Amino acid sequence: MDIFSEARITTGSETELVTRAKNGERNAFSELVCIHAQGVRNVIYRMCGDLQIAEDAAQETFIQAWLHLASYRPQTSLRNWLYRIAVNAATDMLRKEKRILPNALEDLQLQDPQLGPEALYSQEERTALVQKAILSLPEASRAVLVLKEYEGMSYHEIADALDIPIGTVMSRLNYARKVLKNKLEKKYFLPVEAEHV
Amino acid sequence: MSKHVTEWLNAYLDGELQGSQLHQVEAHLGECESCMTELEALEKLSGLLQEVPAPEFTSPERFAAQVSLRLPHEQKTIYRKTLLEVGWWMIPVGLLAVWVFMSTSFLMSDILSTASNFG
Repeated sequence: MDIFSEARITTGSETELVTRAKNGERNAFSELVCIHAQGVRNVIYRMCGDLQIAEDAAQETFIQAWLHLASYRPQTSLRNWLYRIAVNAATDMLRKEKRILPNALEDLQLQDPQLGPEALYSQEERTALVQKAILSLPEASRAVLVLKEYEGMSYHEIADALDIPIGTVMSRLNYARKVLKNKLEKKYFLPVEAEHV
Repeated sequence: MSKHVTEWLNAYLDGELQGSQLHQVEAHLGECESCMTELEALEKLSGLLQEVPAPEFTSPERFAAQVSLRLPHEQKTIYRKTLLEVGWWMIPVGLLAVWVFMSTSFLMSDILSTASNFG
């Protein structure tokens, strides 16, 4: 069996599960939750950087999906539809929790830059810095970056998931990467941007 | 040298460019060191982002069970609606069944009384 046949079977069975879930079958919906739990929680975690918020917002995502399943059109991607709800749930949860630290990166103390980039930070510190830099992005740009970098979605899929034009996907992604590059350049992880002549 | 392609570097890195746009960026990168440096910085940034590990969530099955416990019964409304729709169809069918039953009862009663008169 080739990979495309497997994909068709998966899609077919998912469509069947959606139909059954729309008819009120909770077991069918639970199977859909199992299929998409990891992806939805990953997206939310990358959006908020907090495991507990990610679990709570992911639960809220699936509850909203259950309530509004009648509005989901089976010819579109269920994953993209769920990710849209997930991004909204993450944003709502963050506003409610107010746990995000927009300028947290500035709180970190630099060590001696003359030691060189590799010696400066341990892996954990690098990870923490990168994560805080991501969290410092505006929510709209962060969502596009997360779907691209961590879910590997195409621009078209991101546009579909977030219900925005592809041009907006590109501009938000360009902005997000530019901000991250500038922030992390300061921490000596990346070469300083070359001057264009 | 052709115009800098900085604004297209992200799309190029993500494999989103096609046709003449792709060739234009590739041709420019071959002759522009600053754009190539910028592309390498973007690649390095992407590598840094991948260093942030995914957390260990609870298993999907356990998570699904937790969600299931919190699911509201709204969809039961749809189920009830279906029942109601069936109920509307059942009304004339029920009336017809009652009429058939009563007619049969009266007919049987007539037959029995006629039979007892002759008996």
